[in-house]
Amino acid sequence: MRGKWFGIGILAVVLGGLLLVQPAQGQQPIKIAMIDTTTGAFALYGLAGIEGAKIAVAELNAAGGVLGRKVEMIVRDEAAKPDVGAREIRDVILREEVAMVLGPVSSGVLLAMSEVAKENKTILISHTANTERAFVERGHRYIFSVVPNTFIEGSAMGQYMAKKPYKKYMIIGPDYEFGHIQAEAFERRLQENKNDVEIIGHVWPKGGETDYTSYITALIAAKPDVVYGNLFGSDLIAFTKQAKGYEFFKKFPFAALYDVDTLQGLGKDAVEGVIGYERGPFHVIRKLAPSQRFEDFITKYRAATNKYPSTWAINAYDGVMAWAKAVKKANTVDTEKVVDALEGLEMDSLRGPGHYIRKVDHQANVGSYIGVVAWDKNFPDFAIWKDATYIPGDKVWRSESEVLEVRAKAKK
Amino acid sequence: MSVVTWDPGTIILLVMSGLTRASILFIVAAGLTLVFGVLRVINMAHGSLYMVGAFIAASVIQQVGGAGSFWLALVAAPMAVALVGGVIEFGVLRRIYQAEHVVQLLATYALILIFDDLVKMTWGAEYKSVSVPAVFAGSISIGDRPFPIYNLFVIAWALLLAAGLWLLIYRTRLGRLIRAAVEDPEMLEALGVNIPRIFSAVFIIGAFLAGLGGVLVSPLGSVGLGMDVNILIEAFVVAVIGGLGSFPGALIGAGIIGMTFSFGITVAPRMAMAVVFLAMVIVLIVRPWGLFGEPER
Repeated sequence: MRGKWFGIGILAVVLGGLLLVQPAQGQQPIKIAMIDTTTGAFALYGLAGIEGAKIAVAELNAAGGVLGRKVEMIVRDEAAKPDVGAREIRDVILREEVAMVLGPVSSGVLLAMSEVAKENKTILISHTANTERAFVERGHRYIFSVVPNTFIEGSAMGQYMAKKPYKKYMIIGPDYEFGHIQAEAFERRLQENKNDVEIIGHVWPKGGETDYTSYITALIAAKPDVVYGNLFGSDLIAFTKQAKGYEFFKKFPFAALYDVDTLQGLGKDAVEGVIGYERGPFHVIRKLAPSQRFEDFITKYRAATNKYPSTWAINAYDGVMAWAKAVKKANTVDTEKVVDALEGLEMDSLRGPGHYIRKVDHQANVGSYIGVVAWDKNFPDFAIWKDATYIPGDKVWRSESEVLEVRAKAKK
Repeated sequence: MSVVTWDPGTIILLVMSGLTRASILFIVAAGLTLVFGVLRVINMAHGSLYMVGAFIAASVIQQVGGAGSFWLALVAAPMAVALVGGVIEFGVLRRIYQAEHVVQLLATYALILIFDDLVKMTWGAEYKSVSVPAVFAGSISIGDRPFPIYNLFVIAWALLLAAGLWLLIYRTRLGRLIRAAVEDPEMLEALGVNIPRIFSAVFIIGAFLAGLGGVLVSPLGSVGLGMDVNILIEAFVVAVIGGLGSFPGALIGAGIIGMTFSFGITVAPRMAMAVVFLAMVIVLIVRPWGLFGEPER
């Protein structure tokens, strides 16, 4: 008997509590969720994104919130696992009733989360994961991208490299979704723009590989004119350090994702003269599209973390701001109306003016930054780039008709 | 797809590449296998100790700076990790030796998560940089091909360590006790030997080896989160092929994996990983206790 009364007592307390915490409608904050990797090898990308998004949320709230309501951000870890990502996004949608989800880091997780977003009709904005398949083949009404997708990134590099005299290419990339489809886009654009190139081979180390000696040996033995890579982060750091020992960089020109994170990780081991590309290096953006707003962002980011913002932070900030602008434009948080507002939205991107989200695949025309790794006296601890250029997304992305074609083919 | 010309120079280079990988794997797997052989605990956190070793080395090198800092790290980091190992043994493992294997797995798995967070809190999530020490920077020619000097250093360390471990186990009193503890812990205890102390010693040596692996590998790659899980999987494959608990097994297992990778990547790049796991599956079918292991008594 005691047990029964105890249970009823608990129930009463819980119900009473529910009544107490029910505030007046309209005063409630708008909840958004950030689901990113915060543990393991990709944690630095997720944590940087979270910091960038936090700055955006703080700015929105300081300016009186969105539609007069505060914005509240919930942070979850997807642990770089598709099943965890799917579980977390389902949870924040059903239990927290978030208006929008930002994330995740890796493409495999994005594909899993995207299905849940579609099923539950909730906006999912990708700021780091960039597999094109998520937006073209498996694109749907609720998924958006504020990061250059693999097609844009690969094509931009294909266009850039086609102007170089190299003919025989070896390709090295991580053996998963991102590595393969980004390389595919690269090869296609390269061969379209230059007819005498030959891809003589690929090597596909697994993601998180620690020992590249065998891969380096294979690359050297193939005797290419140039090596193109879409390695990044710890993989690229390990590759670079080990390849130096084989005098690899004296023999072959090399291009890979030498972003700010990677160059910081390389420190003094950075190789001058290799070609780097990435999605948003602060040191290039501040030169090509200088603005007080961007400098303020850098200052705020440094104050919070004592680090320079990486592209992941910049994209996450852009993602939050694009959503907020769409909500203001739609004058409601109603998902369907916000989606309509996001389609074709002129973004206030930190990358500078002229950025928008196109309707057909919900892709922002954000592009790729390309430069040559070099030391700069303003940055004694890590190398940056020189001779940097920006290839906007709309210069290299798939045409609208091609997007529809690819989509139709995938449906069959 | 094979675009490789099979001249002697290439083959020598592939062998040397394979040996480098084998060396790191041996150092890490030796600790794993030693701990399992004596304590009968599969230490899932072995990779975490390796990661902690690398982070400590990066810090020492960054703080001290200069030419000698790498050598200081090479001594200090494994010792610090050994200390951490001692704390884990005393604080966690000692309480669960009698528990089911599943409980031990869960406990050491929990340590992986704890170390991930501790490392993140202490050092942050960004990559740390450790350069090859100046003496070993650059390359030498092997069959007219350049080969990194540092890799030779790593190979030499692994050989030295293999010899040292052999001496420790077969030529010292502690080694005799360790072997006896593997054979029959109850009898040893009945003879008045302090078994818990031997267990502690073994775990500390295992942790030391993990830390050493972490320091040695840091100039070859990046020091960052996630390196724990990567090495753990491969070290497991090595230990399982060689036979959990067997030293010669770890040595041979590391050699097999190193060479399979090196040649596999060159011959069939997409298949290399599959071949490694295939090798493990075949060994498990033919000799479930591994090449040099012994069936569970």
